[in-house]
Amino acid sequence: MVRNPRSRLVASSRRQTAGQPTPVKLPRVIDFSAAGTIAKNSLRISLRYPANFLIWGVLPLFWFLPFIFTGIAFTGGTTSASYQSQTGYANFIPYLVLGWVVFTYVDSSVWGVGNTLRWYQFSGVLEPMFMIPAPRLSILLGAAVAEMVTTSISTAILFGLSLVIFGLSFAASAVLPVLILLFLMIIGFTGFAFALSGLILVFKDPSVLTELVDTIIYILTPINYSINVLPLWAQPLSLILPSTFALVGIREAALAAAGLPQLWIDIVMLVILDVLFWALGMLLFQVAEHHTRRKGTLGEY
Amino acid sequence: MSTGIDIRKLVKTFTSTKRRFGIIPSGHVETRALKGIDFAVGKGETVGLLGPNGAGKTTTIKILSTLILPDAGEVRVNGFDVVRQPTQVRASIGVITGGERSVYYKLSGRENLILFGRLYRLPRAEAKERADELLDMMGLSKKADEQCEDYSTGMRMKIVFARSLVHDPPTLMFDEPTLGLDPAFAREIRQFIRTKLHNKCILLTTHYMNEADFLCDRILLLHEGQIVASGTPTELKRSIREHDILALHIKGRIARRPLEKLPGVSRVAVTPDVSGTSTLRLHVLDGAAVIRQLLDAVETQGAKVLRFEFEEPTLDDVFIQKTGRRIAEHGSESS
Repeated sequence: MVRNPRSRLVASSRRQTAGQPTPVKLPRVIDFSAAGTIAKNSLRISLRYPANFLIWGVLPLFWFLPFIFTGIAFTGGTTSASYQSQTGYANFIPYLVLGWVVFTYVDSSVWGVGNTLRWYQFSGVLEPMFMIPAPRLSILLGAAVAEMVTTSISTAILFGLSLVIFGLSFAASAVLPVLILLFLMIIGFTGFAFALSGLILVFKDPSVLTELVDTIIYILTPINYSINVLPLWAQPLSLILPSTFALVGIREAALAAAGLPQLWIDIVMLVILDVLFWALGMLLFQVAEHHTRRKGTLGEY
Repeated sequence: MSTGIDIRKLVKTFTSTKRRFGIIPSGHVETRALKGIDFAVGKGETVGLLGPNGAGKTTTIKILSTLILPDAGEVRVNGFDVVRQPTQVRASIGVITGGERSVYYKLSGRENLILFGRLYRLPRAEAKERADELLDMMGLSKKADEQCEDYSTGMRMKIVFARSLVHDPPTLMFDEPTLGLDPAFAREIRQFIRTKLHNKCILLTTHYMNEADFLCDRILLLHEGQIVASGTPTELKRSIREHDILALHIKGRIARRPLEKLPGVSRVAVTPDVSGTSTLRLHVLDGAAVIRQLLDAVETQGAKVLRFEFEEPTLDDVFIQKTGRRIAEHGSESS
C-alpha cells in the first residue's frame, strides 16, 4: 500500500540533496558507508554461488602440491640443508603452505577488484553504479573488501586442509602478528588494485597485463623460495612489494616465534608501501577514469 | 519556473583512432557529437530530446549524469555543475540508461531497490519502505522477492525505472525508457510518467513519436549535434501545417528523386513495410493539386498504388521537414 509517499520522500530528498544549489556535504575521496554497502551486496551475490568458496578453498592446494612433491623428489624427505641455508627453515612444507596462503591474497587482490569492475561492465551495472552519489573509488574499495572476505573464507579452508594433510601446527601466539601483517599487506595491494582497475576502464580487457603483473609478483615474492636465489638485479624489485615484507614477517612469527617487537621493520615497511601504493593507485585510477569520461567509453566493454 | 537542467553552448567531440589492418594506428577520426547546444528544462516540465541514432541524445544524457565530460560549455543540474560538483549532481538525479540489463540479476527486485536506496544515502528503514512503495506502484509486490533473473524483460525494466526514483530525485533523465518493451508494458510506463511524475523535471529521449507526443510538454529536435527546432508538440506540428502530408501505400520499387521534382513537393520519405510493400510520405504544398501527377509518377516507375491518404502531421514529419530524414524506422510503435 502506498503511504502518502510524496511529502515524506520529498522531505527525505531535501534532507540529502536539496535538489537546489545548496551544496550538501558529500565525501570527496572515498565514501566508506557506500563502500560497506557495496561490499555487503557483493558478498550477498557471492553467497548465491556457494560452491565457489569450496572450489577456491581447494584449488590453491592443487597449485602448490606439485612444489611439495617436487621438493620431496629432490630431497627424499621434507627437509633440506640447502633449503635451510637459503631460507633459514629446514622444513619446506610449512614454508610453502604459508607462502601460498599469502599468495592467495595477492592473487585475489590483483585479479579480484578488476574482475569485479569487468563483471560490472559485462552485466550492465557499471553505469548505474558509477551514477551513485559517491566517489568512484568507494566502489572499488567495496569490491576489495568483499573480495578479501571471500578470499579469507577460501584461505581458511586451504589452511585448515593443509594443517590436516601435512600434520602442521603453529603457535597460537603467532595469530596476532600474522593477522596484522596480512592486513597491512592487503591494504597495500588494495591500492595496487585501484591502479589495475583504472587500466581495466581504459583497456577494457587487460587480462594479459594482469596475468603478467600477477606472474611477476609471484616470481619476486618469496613464496616458494627465498629472494636470495633471485638474480642480484631482481632482488631490490622484490623489496618494493608488500607481499615480500608480509611473508618474511609471517614466517618469522609462525615458524620462529617472533613477536611484534621483532617484526617492526616489516611493519614499518608495509605501512610505507601501503601509503605509496594507495597514493599511486588512487592517482592512476582517477587519471584513467577522467580519460574514459573524456573519451566517452566508460560503459563500453 | 526554477530550472532543473541548464545547458549552455555544450560541445562534445569524440576522437577515435584509425587503425591500419585493425592494429597499427594511422590517424584520428573526430566526431562532433554536440555542436554547442543550449536548452533548459524547468521543474514540473517534461522535455523530449528527439533525433535519429547519432544525433547526440545519449551523449547529452551521459554528460548530464556525469558519465561523460563535456569539452566546452556550461552544464548545471539542479544548480550543480556537472564538472565541478559531480557527486552533488548524481545525488539529485535519477537516470535510466542501458535498459533492463542494468539490474543485478542475482538479487531480487526488492534487494535491488534497497541496495540503491542505501547507495543514495537513504537510512536503512527508509530504503526498505521506499522499495516497498515503488514495488507496489509498479505492480511488482508479489514478485518482489524473486531474483531478477526470473523476471520478464518488462518487469526488469520496471525495476530499472523504480531504481531511478528510489531517492525521489527532483530531476529525472530517461534514455529510451520503453525501448524493446512490449506495447502493454510501454503503455504502463508512459502512464506512470504522466500521472505520478508530473511535478518532476524530466528529460526524455525516445525514438517513438507517439511517446514524445503523449508525454512531453516541449520537444527539442536534435540533428547531428544541433537543435534544429523546439516547441510544444502542437507548435511543432502546426509549424508545418502549410504543407499537406500525403501517405501512399505502394507495391514495387520506387526512386525518390523523380517524385521530389514534382511541383510543390518538398520532402519524400520511403519506409519499406514488412509485407513487401512500402509507404511513401510526401510533404506537398497543395495535396489536391498534385495528387494526379503523383499517382502518374509512381505508376510510371512501375509501382502500384494500393491506397493513399492525407494525414495529420506527426513529429516525425516535422523532423523530415527540418532535416530531410526520418527520426526512426520504428517511429510508429503502437501505444
